[in-house]
Amino acid sequence: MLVYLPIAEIPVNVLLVLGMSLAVGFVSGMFGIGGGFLMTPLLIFSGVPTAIAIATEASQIAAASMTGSIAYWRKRALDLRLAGVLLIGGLIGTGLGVLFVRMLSRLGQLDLVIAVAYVVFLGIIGGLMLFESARSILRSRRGVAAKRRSGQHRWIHGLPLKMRFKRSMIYVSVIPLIGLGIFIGFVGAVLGIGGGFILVPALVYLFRVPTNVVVGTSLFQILVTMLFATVLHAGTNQAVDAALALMLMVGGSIGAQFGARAGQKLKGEHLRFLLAALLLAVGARFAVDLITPPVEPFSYTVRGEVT
Amino acid sequence: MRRLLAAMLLLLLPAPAMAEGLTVSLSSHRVIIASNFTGADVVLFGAVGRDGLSASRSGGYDIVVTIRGPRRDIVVREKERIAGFWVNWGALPFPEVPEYLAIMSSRPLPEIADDTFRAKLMLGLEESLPLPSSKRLSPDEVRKSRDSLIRLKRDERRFIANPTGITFLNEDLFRTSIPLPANVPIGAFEVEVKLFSGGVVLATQTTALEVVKSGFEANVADLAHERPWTYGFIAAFLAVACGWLASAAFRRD
Repeated sequence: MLVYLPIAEIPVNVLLVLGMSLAVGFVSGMFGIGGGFLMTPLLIFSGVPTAIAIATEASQIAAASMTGSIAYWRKRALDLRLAGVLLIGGLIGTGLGVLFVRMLSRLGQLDLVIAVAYVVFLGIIGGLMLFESARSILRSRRGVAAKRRSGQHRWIHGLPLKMRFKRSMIYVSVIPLIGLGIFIGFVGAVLGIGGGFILVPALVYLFRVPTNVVVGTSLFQILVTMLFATVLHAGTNQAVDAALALMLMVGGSIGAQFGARAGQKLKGEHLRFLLAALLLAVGARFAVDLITPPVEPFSYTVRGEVT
Repeated sequence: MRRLLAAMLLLLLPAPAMAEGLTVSLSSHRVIIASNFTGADVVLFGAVGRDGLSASRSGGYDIVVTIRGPRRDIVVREKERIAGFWVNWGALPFPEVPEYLAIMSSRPLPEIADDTFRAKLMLGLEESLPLPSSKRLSPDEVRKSRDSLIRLKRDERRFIANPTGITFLNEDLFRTSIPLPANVPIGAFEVEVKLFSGGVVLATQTTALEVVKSGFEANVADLAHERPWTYGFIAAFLAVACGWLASAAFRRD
């Protein structure tokens, strides 16, 4: 069943796109991640122009984090004050990221930068996660309890402009929080990801945000930055494909429900091991495309159009 | 001025003594693309009109029909191996390239007119894309970029060259069909019909064709390009609504 995508200007098979978004939704529900860094590459691999894949995926992540934010809001597991401070940086970073995408596309280097960034990001995160989960699987087989590192970060607590966040029970400077927001916003807008997999560990390990509020706060921050990214990508680059976005949202939200149920039956370290293998596989695919001689070395674009 | 000179030259030249005219007609001047559009053919009919004095020409007639879609500035890039990675390196701009270009003729073009004349008339795919000047690329590389652009466009079926695309129904009556692929660009197309005999143009006739989109996709694309910020806010609203709907539908308490 072929449908013509109005912005990407290519025909796609509806069942294929729904299948992909169901699968990614399943994985994201299972691991509790956004799924952007799987869906964006899949869209690129299936022929959607890179800028359109990034921009459209931003709207899908917004929809997924809306669902998540509502659930955490109901449980009151969301620190709005903390999210607000993160968002000051998040919105700036998103704006810079969208401009960066536009600039790269005009130079004809968007595909390259995205591919290299994915190889590096997925390689590092997948590698670390694989190593860590393999170690804890081995350790649990031997019956040794994992030690927790205390992880004191004195320099962060020495910074000025401190603010008290009651719900998170922390008292920290807003400077590193805004800096973190800028970084997450920028990376998210450029790579077509929400950035939860960077934001959550950063909040937990660097700022000692309790785990019961960290996921809800992170989801809310991602919701707002991704909505902003959607508007900016559409407004400046005309790169959001509403028809594709709708298919991704439907598939993704259904898949996530089943994934969440399946995830409860698997052990944490086994889950992380599987996810790490998946991330490394996607990174490897980008790496292969970068180093193998292209079948068609030539390409053309319409001047000024962002693709 | 140049045109005036050419006209005067024509008057001075002894040939052609016989005057031929061209009458052409398209089966449709407006092609509408709906969501189920998989391509269309527009049929062109033409007749060579001769005055009473005309005897049949020794070489017979040749017809070349050129259809040009809306023009855009194109950038062609070539991937090169840099430090082990394949990277877009060279970029060569081609100004005012038709997004769609079809050339139908009754015989292969080199048999109809010689090289210099074809270049002057911009008759043919290569002839329609003059080589841009480049400080960085050698003439050979520029030519390779141009040929690659034509190859890419032909693969997309947006460039078409059919040297046997014109059928003569009798001595004076001819027809051709113009294939518009599923990915045909939107906009105004110019159709140019030239009548040749013995390597010279006897008559030229032009007409126009318009390709328009209709339906849901067209509205979405129009909104996205004409009011991108409104479109962005609608997309964001769609995300919020979908997220909220999913939350309501799958609530487990």
